[in-house]
Amino acid sequence: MATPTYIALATATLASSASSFTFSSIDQSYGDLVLVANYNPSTQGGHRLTLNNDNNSNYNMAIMTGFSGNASSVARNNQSFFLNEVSDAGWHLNTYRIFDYSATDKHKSLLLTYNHANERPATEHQSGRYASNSAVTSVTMFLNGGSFDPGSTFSLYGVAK
Amino acid sequence: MSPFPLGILAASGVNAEAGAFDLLETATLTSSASSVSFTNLANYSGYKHLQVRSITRGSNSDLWSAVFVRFNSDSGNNYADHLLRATDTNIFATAVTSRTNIGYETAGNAAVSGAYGSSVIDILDPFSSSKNTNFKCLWGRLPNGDDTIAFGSGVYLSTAALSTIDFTNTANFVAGTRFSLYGIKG
Repeated sequence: MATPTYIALATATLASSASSFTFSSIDQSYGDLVLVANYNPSTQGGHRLTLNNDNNSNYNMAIMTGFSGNASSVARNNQSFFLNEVSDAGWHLNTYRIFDYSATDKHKSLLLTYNHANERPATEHQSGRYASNSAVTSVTMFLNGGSFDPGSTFSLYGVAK
Repeated sequence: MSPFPLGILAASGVNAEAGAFDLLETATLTSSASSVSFTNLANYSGYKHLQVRSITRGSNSDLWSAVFVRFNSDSGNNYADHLLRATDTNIFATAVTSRTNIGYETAGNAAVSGAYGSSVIDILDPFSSSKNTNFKCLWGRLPNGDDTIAFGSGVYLSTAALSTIDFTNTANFVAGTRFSLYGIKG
């Protein structure tokens, strides 16, 4: 039997600037999480993402970037957060997909699609592995310096399995 | 805070009716298996598009493992795909025509314990009887070496409406592997 899903769990639009944004006490009844963030940074430098407030060296990622006419790739392992490679002024649209986030027998797999569009458009795809079997109960985004401008939006969706 | 259904289009800022994105079936392996199939697609012909989200791991003793996809149990040379992929050392594109399946990659059993690969496959207009079936796929695997992210698209060179999707592996899918099938209304 078909089950309507892609459920909006929470959403927020910043009324004032903020250095970080966190979704906590995440409902554990879904299969995947999707985090959609559309933000304008006060300074350039890219954003960061942590799970469960974990700042240990548990974040691993492979990154594919198209930026200013160049394509590039890089892998970053044993980081203290997920990070994106490119940044610029203007609005940045990010879609994170976190698979089997409530499982306690797997590392957490993640796929990110990132875009920003201004005078130097960029796109980035990223796969990530959070090296922990813990269920994901909170997600925090912050910037590599500066803050999210007012009007930045953060939405969290649950996808049933 | 009460959750409310929006549908995938709402996620990108476009209004959509409740129930525009539905879970149809899920297969979660409790023991290893050589294949996973969805065989009741005819029941879902009221949907415009399909999506398969998966988290998988192969039993072969390598860092990575191949996943193969076939539609309608068709093993002819009726598939073609293109792939843009990036590893820790390079980024490149490939194209394969006249192939007997669609391929993507996941973690193999030499990957660090707990590592699985993930993918999202969108299958466009699968119930049309006048169009070849197009798809696109975003997948990644981080087995702890030879880490990869890739984005691909391709075609099944048949105008037949889809009735089945079969997933097979280089070896077996291990327990914990999951494939979920979703319908998107049009």
